[in-house]
Amino acid sequence: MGRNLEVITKLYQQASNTEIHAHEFRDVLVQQFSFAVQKFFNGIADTPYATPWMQGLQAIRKYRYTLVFTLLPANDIDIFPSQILEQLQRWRNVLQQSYPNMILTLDAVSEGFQQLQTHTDTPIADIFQTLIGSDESMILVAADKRQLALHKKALLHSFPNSKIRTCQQSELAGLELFDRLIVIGPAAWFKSYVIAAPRAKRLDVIRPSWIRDVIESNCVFLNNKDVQRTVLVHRSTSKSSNLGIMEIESQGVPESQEEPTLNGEDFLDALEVRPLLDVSIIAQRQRIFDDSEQGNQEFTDARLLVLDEQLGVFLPIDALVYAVDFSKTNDDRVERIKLPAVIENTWIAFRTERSDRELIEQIADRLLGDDKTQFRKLQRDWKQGLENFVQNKGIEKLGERLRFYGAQNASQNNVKRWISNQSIWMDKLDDFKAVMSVLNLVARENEYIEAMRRIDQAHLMAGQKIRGLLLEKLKTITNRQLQKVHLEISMEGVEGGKFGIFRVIGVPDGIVKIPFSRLGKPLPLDD
Amino acid sequence: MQFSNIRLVEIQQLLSVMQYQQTNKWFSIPDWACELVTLGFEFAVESYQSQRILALVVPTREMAAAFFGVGLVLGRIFGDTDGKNDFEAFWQLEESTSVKLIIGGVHTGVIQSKTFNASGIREVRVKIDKKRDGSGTELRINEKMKFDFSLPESRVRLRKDASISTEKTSFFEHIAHLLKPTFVPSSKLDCLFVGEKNTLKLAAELVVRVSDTSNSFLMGCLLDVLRPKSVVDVGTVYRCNFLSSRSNDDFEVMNELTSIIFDGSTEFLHCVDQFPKHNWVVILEQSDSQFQAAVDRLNSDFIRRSEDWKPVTQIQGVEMLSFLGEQYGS
Repeated sequence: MGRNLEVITKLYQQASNTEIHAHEFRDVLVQQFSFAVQKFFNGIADTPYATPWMQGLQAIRKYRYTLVFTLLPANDIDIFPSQILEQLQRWRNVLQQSYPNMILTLDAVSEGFQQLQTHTDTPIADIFQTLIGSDESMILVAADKRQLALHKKALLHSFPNSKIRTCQQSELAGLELFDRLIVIGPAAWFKSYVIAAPRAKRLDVIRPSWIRDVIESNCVFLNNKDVQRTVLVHRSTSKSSNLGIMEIESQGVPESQEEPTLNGEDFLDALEVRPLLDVSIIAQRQRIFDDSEQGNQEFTDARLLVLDEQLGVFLPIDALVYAVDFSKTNDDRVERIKLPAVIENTWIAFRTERSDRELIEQIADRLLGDDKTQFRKLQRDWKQGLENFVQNKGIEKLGERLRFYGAQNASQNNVKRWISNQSIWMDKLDDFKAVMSVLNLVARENEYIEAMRRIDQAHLMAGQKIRGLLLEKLKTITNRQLQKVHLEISMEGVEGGKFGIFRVIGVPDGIVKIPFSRLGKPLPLDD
Repeated sequence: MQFSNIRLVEIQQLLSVMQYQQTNKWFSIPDWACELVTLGFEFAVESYQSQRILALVVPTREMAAAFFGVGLVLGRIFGDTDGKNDFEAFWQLEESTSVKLIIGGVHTGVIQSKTFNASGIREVRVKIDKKRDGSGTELRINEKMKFDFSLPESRVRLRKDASISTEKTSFFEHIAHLLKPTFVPSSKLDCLFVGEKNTLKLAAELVVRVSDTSNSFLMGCLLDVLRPKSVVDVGTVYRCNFLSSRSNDDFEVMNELTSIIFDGSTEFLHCVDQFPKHNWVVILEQSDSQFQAAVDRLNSDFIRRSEDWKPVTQIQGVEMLSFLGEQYGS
C-alpha cells in the first residue's frame, strides 16, 4: 500500500499538467475510399439489401476502420481482397437490375479498394517513428482487441527495436504510470478517461485530418463548466499524399483557434467509421461454426453479454448465472441470478472449457456411483424411444399421443426439449407417465421414475458442489488480481472445471437463436 | 481568518506529525492525502441546516475514501461540542496551564483560578496573553458556555498531567485526544462508506504513526481511526460502517447529520436513493464505468440546489462540486 501512495501522488501531481499533442495526417487514397464507402452505406440503407448484405457491409466497414489506425501499409492488412472484390461484383449485378443509380457509388468503392491493394504509404507510421525515439517509458493504447493485435504485429515488423508497450484502454485504469501515452485514431474512439485523465505526462494523438473529432478536457461539473483544465494541446499537422510527405508544425496553437480548413462535407464522424456491434451477425457466425462442427443443430433463444477485452458470450434467456460480488464477505461472494438481472459491471463466472451441462453431468455421474451406467441407459432408452417415434410418425402425432395418455405440457417445444440432452426429464410426473405409456413401458414405470429421480437429485447436488468449489477458489482471489480484465480459476480434481470470471460491460438488446453447442463460450467480438 | 480556517489548523497540525510506512521506512503523508483528510475534517466540522453534497473527481479513487473518511471521523470528534464535557475537562486542568481557547475567536492564555461565582456556577479565569501593545485581559469561562480548547505548547504533556486522558492508550484515542483532549470515546456512525468493502478495508490498513513524545511514536493504521462497526470487536467503539453497494445489508438508522461516502460511480448510482436526506460525499474517477451517468445525476441535482456552498480546502488535480440540497425537516 505504501508503494501505491507514491504512484497516487504522481497521479495527483500530473492530473492538471498533462500535455496533449495532436498529430494529424491525411492520406488521399484512404480518405477517398472512406468517403466512397460512406456514400455507398448511406445509399444501401434506403434499399432492402441493408439487412441481407449486412455481413459483407460489416467486412468493408472493418477494413475502412483498420485503414484509419494501422501502422501497416494498406496492402498489408489481413483481409482477402479477392473475396471482397467478388462480393462487390455480386452486389453490382444485383444493383444493376434494381438500383442502377447506385452503380457509380459502388464502382468508386471497388476502384478505391483495388488501388489500396498496391498502396504502400504509411503516414501514421511516419509520425509514430518521430515519437518513439527517446528513452521515455511509452505505451501505445489500443481502443479494442483488433487495434491491439494489429499494433503488436506492426511493432514487431516495422519497429522491432522499440521498447514501447501496448495495452487495451481498459487496462489503463490502474496505478501504472508512463512518460508518454500514444493513441492512434480519433480521440472519440477512446474512453473519455484515456484522453481526459491519461496515465502519462504527455499524450500523443495521431489522427486523420478528415474525421470530425474534438479533444475535450473541460471540467465535468456544471459549476466549473466554463473552466478549461490546464491541459496544453499542441497540434502538428502532417499531410501526406501519394507524392510524398509534407509536415507543417504548428505547436502551441490552442485547439479552439485552429478551425478545420475544409468545409463540413469533407468530414466523417469519428463514430461512423467504427465497426458496429451487430448481435444478429455474431449469432449468425455461431450458427456457421456449429454447422461445421455437428450438422445436426439444436437451437435455443439466447442473449449476448458483452464482456471486457472485446469478448462476448451467448447465454440462454432463462439461464441462471453465477454473479460474483467481490465486495461481499467470502461466503456470500457468489450467487446465482437470472440473466435479466445481469447488468453492466456485474462480474460473472462461467465455465470456459466445458459447458455447464457437461460439467454437471460429469460430477453427477460420479455421485451416482455404480448406478450410473444403469440409470443413464434407462434415460437414453426413453429419449431414444421418443426420437424414433418422431422419425416414424412426426412430432405432432407424438404430442397427440402424449396428451391422450394424460400429458399436460406436451407442446412441440417441450417435447423437443424432453428428447434433447438438455433436459433430464419432465417437471410433471404425469408427463413422464404419458411417455411410459406411449413407449409401452408402463410395467417398468417405477424403475424408470426412480432412475430419473436419482439422476435429477445427483444433478442438483452436482450444481451445489460446483458452487461450493467455486466459492472456495474465489476466496483466494486478491484485490490485486481483480485489477485484471478477467480471471481464470481451475478446480482441482474436476476435469474441465476451469472457470472464467468476467466483467460484463454491456447487454445489447435482441434475442437470437444460438446452437446449444455455442452457449457459454467466450468469443471474440471483433473478428 | 474565517472560522473554518482556524479550525483547519488543528487537523493540519496533526497531519504534520503523521507518517506512513513503506518497506520499513517512514514518510510524511503526501499533500493530496493531507488535503483529503482536511477536506473530510472541514466537511464534518461545519454544520448547516441543509443537506450538503460534495462530489470529487479524483485522478484515482485508490485511498481517497479512506483518507477523506479519516478526516470526517476526526472532524466529527472535534466538532462535537458538548459543552458539559468540555468544561469538565477544562475544570480539571491545573492552574498555570497554558491553553488555547476557541470562543468568539482564538485566544491563548494561562489558567489563573477556578472558582464558583455568585450563582454557584463553576468558573475558570484565564489570563489572556498580552498583545503587542501591552494590553492584557481576562476571560471567564463558566460551565454554561459553549467553547473549545486545546493546549498549544505540548498536547502530549496534557496526556500525562490531565486526569481526563490518562490510561487512554489506543491509537484511536490518542489521535482523538490530540485533536480534542476532552474526547470521551463513544460509538457513533459518523459516516457510512458505500463501496467495495474489501477495497476500502485494504486501503484503510495503511500503517501510520504519530509522535507521542519527543522520542517515541504511537503506531496504528487508518482503520484504527475509522473503526468500522463491521470490523471492530463487538462492544468496542465504532465510528463508521461499510455498506456493499450490491448487498441487501440493513444499515443502521442514522440521524441526518451522518454522511454517506460513495466510493465510485456505480456505488453512487446504485444506492443514492436510499439516502435522500443525508450528506453525500461522492468520489468519482473518470475510468469508472458509469462515470458520465453519475456526473449527469450530480449536475441535475446541482441545478435544483437550494444554496451554494464551497469548502475552504481545495485539492490540486481534483475537480469538485459542492452545494446545499434540501433543508432538514422540509
